[in-house]
Amino acid sequence: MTDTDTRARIAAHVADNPGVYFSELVRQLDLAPGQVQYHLRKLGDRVVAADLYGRTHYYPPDCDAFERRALAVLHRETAADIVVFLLRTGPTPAAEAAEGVGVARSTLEWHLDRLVDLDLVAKRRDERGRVTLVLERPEETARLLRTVEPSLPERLVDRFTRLVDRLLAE
Amino acid sequence: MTPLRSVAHAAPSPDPGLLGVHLLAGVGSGLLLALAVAALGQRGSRSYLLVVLALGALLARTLVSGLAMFGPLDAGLHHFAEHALDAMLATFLLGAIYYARSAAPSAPEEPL
Repeated sequence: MTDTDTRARIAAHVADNPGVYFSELVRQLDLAPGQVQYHLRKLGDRVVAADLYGRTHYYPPDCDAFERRALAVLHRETAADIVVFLLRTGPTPAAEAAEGVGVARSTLEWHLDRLVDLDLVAKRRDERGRVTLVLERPEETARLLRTVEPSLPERLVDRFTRLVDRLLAE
Repeated sequence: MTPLRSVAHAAPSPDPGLLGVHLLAGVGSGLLLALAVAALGQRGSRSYLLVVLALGALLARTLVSGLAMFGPLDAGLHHFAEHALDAMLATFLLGAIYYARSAAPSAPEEPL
């Protein structure tokens, strides 16, 4: 396979899987890390990179800033579950959301830290002063949710933390 | 024929069944440890560190037993090491449970 072919393959894979990160590219395309690194450099602005929480995610250039942030976090199964729950039920107090999603409060808070930080979810106080979780841009988030598919190792790590958090919760 | 020592778990020459069980145990606990290390990378809390150590002890159990099977570890030491690892595993898990309270992010939600 020529260099141009490999480069086109990487660009196409990023376009199909916006938000894909480096080790996934290496694994899914069955290339050497050095090769991927070299071609990503050569691709220049045909692929956009963003560092989020210690991982470099890659996007096609037509992804806007909100999409880039959302795709990075919706990759996590539990974060996606929380978003789906909020899409179904609308603004919900945090404690009810934890129960509704079926996760420990510590799991919910860990994912919320990121969801709030990346402007997908807002914490507002309702008229009784309780913290209520509200989706910032529900329609766009729902559309993006349909495009992400977490890999098996990602799912397993996510479920492992869910289980451990639940076992350790008081 | 020499009488079997009462402390020996494993026969001196490995039989295929025993080898298979060890292989399964090694792969299974290795995968679990990998998951725990990835989870620790995300959370970085003391509880998760202790869960990693506990699963490390579980994997070490298979390694120790494998060493005994192929010779380098004598049966008495093998027996001691296995039970010492059990004690460590229990201690690490108890520690993980103890630290779960302080590791959980505090969510102050005083009603206004």
